[in-house]
Amino acid sequence: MTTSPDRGPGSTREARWRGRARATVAAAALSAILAWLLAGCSTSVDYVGTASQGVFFKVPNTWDVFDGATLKRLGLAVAATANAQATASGTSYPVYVIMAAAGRGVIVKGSPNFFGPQPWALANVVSFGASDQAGISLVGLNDLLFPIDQWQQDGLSVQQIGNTILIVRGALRGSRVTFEAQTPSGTLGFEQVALINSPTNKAWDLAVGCSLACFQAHRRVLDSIVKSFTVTVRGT
Amino acid sequence: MPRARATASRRARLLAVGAIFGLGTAVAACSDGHVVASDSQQLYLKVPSSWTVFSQKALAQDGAFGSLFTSRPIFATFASADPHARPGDAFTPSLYPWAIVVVRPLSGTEQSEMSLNGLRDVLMNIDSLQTQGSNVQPLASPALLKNGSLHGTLVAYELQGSQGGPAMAYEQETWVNSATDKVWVLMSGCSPSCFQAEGPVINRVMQSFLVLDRGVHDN
Repeated sequence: MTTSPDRGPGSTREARWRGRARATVAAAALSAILAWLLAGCSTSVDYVGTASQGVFFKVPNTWDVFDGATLKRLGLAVAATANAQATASGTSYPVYVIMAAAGRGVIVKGSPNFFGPQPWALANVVSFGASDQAGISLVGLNDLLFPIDQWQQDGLSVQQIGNTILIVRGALRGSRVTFEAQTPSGTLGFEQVALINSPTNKAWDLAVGCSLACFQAHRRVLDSIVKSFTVTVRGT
Repeated sequence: MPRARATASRRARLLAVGAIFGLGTAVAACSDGHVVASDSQQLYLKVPSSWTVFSQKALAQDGAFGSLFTSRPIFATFASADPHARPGDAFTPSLYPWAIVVVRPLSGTEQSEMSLNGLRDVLMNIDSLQTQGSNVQPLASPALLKNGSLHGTLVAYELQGSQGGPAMAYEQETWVNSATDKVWVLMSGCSPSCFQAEGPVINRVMQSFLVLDRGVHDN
């Protein structure tokens, strides 16, 4: 009687090994599918914004979201009395400000550090005074957060990355732009999406960024935040 | 369901626009005046029946009129109260009132730099005329206009060239769409004395101007 090589003691070990390997692969695949399914059920992002101003965006749920009181301390949000004065004098003022960042390290000595190594996202809703209303253009929206035009006039190195993307959403019009700049405060990379309504008296904008190296390293996350930016008002 | 609702809403809007056009034409037919309308450009205007109206075809064949524009309009029409009116009379300090309607695209640069203030310069560049030494006086405060996704301005100026010569007064209504790539303009004017004397007529012409375009094409 001859023994088939397939049925020898060595081949039994091999078969057992193969069986174990198959089981491991199957378990890994099952775990991956389970993790993927669970990820679908859980939220890896936080929604940030306000229904009253019709503005929302998503940030990773590991990020810190700064409340109104903190933003006032940082000088990013303005008190209602100041806004009333601005309305009376016909100047522009922020109606709503919200900021989120990858960590509290974005605040340095009581001020926001937009040029640091931690990515941030800052959304603004701005009410325009008569002068800004008459003078604002699509290119002017670039200056809503950082004075890009002024920086260029001052001879700072400011480079637009890619083309300006024009956005039209019903009566809302706007743009999406990316800039890299070398400023006295440090290098800065940021992407901004801004929309303005038909009467041209209100703008909604979201900027995301950090230092140039950080911006390039976190481009994917920042891009997904910009893509999530939603303005729900009709803009007429 | 939402799509069906949107389609129904779109149909309702189209019907409304059609009805306005129909009604406008019917009313105009019964009343005293020439109707200038463009279905493709969604605009409507009425001028007194005594005015001479030049069709777009006639204007296209007139070299003097064509030379008035740096960029070719998509649509243009010109009307004048002058019994001997010529297309080239547009933008002149004529003793008779005239009106010009222009629809034109905005270039890429104009699109990104256009502001409500800038709309006054789309037919006649007031800013550069002032820089060149022309005397430009506003006759009224600029008014902001909005109609759905369209926004615009109503302005009135009196201007006199840097070399002296006769002054011209005019009123201008300009609309721009949400994409900021197209403008609809009506300008009506003549000499300052004519502008004052014919104010009610010019006012009626200005008030008859309707742009029915929704001003939207989402991207």
